[in-house]
Amino acid sequence: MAKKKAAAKKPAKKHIVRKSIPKKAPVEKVPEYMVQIHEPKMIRKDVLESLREIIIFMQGYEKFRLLQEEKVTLFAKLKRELKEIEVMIDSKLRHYLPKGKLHPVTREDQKKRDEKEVVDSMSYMEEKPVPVQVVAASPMPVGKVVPPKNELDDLESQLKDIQSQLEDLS
Amino acid sequence: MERMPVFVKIDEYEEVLSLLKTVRGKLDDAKGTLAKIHELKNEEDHHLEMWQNSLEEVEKKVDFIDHSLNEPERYQ
Repeated sequence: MAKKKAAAKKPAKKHIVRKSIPKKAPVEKVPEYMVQIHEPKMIRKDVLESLREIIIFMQGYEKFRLLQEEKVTLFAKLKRELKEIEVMIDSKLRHYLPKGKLHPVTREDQKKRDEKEVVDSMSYMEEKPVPVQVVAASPMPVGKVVPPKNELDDLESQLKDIQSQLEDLS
Repeated sequence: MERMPVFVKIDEYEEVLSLLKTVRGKLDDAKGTLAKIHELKNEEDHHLEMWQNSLEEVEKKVDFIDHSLNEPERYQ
């Protein structure tokens, strides 16, 4: 069986008759244009120098890419440091110090305030007693709570105060 | 206009001083990082300038080659 299969696989030898092909004469490629180069050495030198410049350029690009990567890392570091400073000042230092809504009191302001207090007390003394109406006590409104001011508004008002104080100073 | 002195009460004075010292240190760090970034930027600018010069040089050379090939001198 095996022998039969092997015999079946082997193709019958064919006699190939090679025809003799006449050899063609090598055709010389004639250039279409002939250009005289006046300074061939200079051109060769220019080509080589251009290549050298481009290779230096590509080497520089690699360095440039590394510089940019380093710069991106430093930017991230700077951002982190600034965030830490912001957290320290905004949450910790502000927590230690009182809110900056204090206005400086001048002597004139103090005098005016004192005078006003005296006038108020005098007018209070001169006022006639008003008959008081007794009204049944109504329960206090529990549900209505004044919503706290937005933090941004608060900051804005503080900023305005600081700016006005700075203007006063200048 | 004379102003009255304002006194601010700070309960944890030592902590505030310590915090300020830390903030100052962080600020120094940030300044150092910014200086490094500035240095790198200068280096990048230097690289860009070098590239500009080298491109101009290559352009001159290519112009010369182009001129030599396209406008050859007449055969005498």
